[in-house]
Amino acid sequence: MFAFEKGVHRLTDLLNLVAGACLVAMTILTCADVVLRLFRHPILGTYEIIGFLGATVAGFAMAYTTVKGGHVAVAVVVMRLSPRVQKVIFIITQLLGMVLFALLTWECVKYGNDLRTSGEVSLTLELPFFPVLYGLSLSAFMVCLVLWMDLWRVFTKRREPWARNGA
Amino acid sequence: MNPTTAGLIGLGILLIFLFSRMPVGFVMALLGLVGFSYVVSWESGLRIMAKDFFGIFGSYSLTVVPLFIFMGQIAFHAGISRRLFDTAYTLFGSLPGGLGIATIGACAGFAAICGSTNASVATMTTVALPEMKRHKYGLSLSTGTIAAGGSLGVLIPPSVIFIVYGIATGQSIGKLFAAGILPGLLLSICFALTVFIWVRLKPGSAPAGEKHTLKEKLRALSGIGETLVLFFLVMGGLFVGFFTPTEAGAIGAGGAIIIGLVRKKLRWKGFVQSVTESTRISCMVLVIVAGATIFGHFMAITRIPFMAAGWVGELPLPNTAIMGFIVFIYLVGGCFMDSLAMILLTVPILYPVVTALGFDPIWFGVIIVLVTEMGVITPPVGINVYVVSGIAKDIPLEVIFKGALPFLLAILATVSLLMLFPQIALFLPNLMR
Repeated sequence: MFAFEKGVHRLTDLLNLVAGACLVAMTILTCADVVLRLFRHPILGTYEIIGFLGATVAGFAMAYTTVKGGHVAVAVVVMRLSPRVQKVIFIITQLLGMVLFALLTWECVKYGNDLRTSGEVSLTLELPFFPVLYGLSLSAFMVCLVLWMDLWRVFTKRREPWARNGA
Repeated sequence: MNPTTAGLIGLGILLIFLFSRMPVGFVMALLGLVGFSYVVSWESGLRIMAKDFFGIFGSYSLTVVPLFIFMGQIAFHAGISRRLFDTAYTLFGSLPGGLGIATIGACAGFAAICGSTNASVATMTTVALPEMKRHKYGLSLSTGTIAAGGSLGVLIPPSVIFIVYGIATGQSIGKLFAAGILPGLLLSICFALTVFIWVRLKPGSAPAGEKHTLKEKLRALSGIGETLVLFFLVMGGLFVGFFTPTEAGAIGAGGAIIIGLVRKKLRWKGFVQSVTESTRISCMVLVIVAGATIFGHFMAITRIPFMAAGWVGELPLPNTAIMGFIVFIYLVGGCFMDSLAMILLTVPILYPVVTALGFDPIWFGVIIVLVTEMGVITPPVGINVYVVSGIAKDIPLEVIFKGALPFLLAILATVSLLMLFPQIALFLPNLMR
């Protein structure tokens, strides 16, 4: 189990690394496009590439943000309840979160398959959309795993509900 | 069950789940999915969800969010915030409460290159709090000043909340940015006056600072040069229409990196931290936007927003009274919820009401940003207070909340002035093409 948890953490870090690389690429590409535009040589398809990179930045950072407890949540009511009730609410909300991201994983693959079959591509560079959907599906699946791992740790009493930083 | 009833039940369940400590973005996405699927079909609901996540994450307009967050992070790691504070201290340090006023000045300056409240507060707690402690400032005054000053981060452009509000309502981000400048300066002055009056009433809370010669003050001005250049480059390009907001964000981030490298302050470690923090904060923002978009689709098919607009429009009350009530909703809601989530959740319902009543959408954007920002320094959720307390762990929460209280009066005064004189917000956007 520990090896599995370590593996999940490594993968979330790796995905976040890709997200970071895409953010830097977005910055460089846009700056280059603005500068080259001054010389009447804008980079063709910048608009499309930035959209693809943006999807990767937010999508691939989802699992990492979940591990770090980085999503906004309202804790003011729950933190006043007894530890037992808090645990029940934690279990319910984690399960609901897992259902949501499992459905997103599934639907992104289906949507990606549809886009691949119909051959839908971007207007200028004719880049296919489906790989982004598959990437999003992978990220949603990783969020599912992170939520399940947190739940498992609470079950095995290795962690309090909503403890920050998954490690 | 007809769609409207389903929508009202959905809103009720949403309110319950929002307080369950489940991430706000997840709650809105889940209830949006279930509600939409119930009214239309599961197949359509699932497809809408996947399309919205894909559409929001990959939207060119929204790529401005990570870029401006990146710019702020780089600015912090390149030491720009520290130099801003040093300059403000040299200029205002000898005034009563000079360090507090310098903190407000530095917050306003940093807000001009950073689009997030939390980032501004965290930065200023690290930079200004040790200085105020060293000069024996009262803990309430020093922490309250930082918590309140940080709220300037979302009012003075660039601002993540203005970006998201602009996209949600179809308003120009450039105009919203322009609309935030004068109210932001006005609020900074009101905050500085609050510090000044506080110290006049309780001189023991802030011992007098060092005096600086005119020559020193002039020399210190070089510390804000880089911020001014970056601000005018980014905002200037945006206002004259040379850049799109995304390009402005990228140029800002690129400019901040160049400043950091030229000044030899930006190290590899700081750069990597900037990138990692930026992806995390951007993802947090965009998941809320995606969740709110899915929930917004559910609300749209229930027709609740349009019915609410019609219903409120027919109320036998003057428009200003209705606006006052809307502001009150934001004020109360802002005390319990994150500003961004609160705005995204309410805009699909309240925006049609506001426009039907004839209020200017740009002005309304400024008002709700200001009002929800009151929530960041008021209990129980007061996020800025928690950020200060998270960094300065030895200071009790109640001391910071008490310190932030007088600054609420300053925000209320600014809101009242904006209600009376909408031109404060609208003057600059009206100059734009």
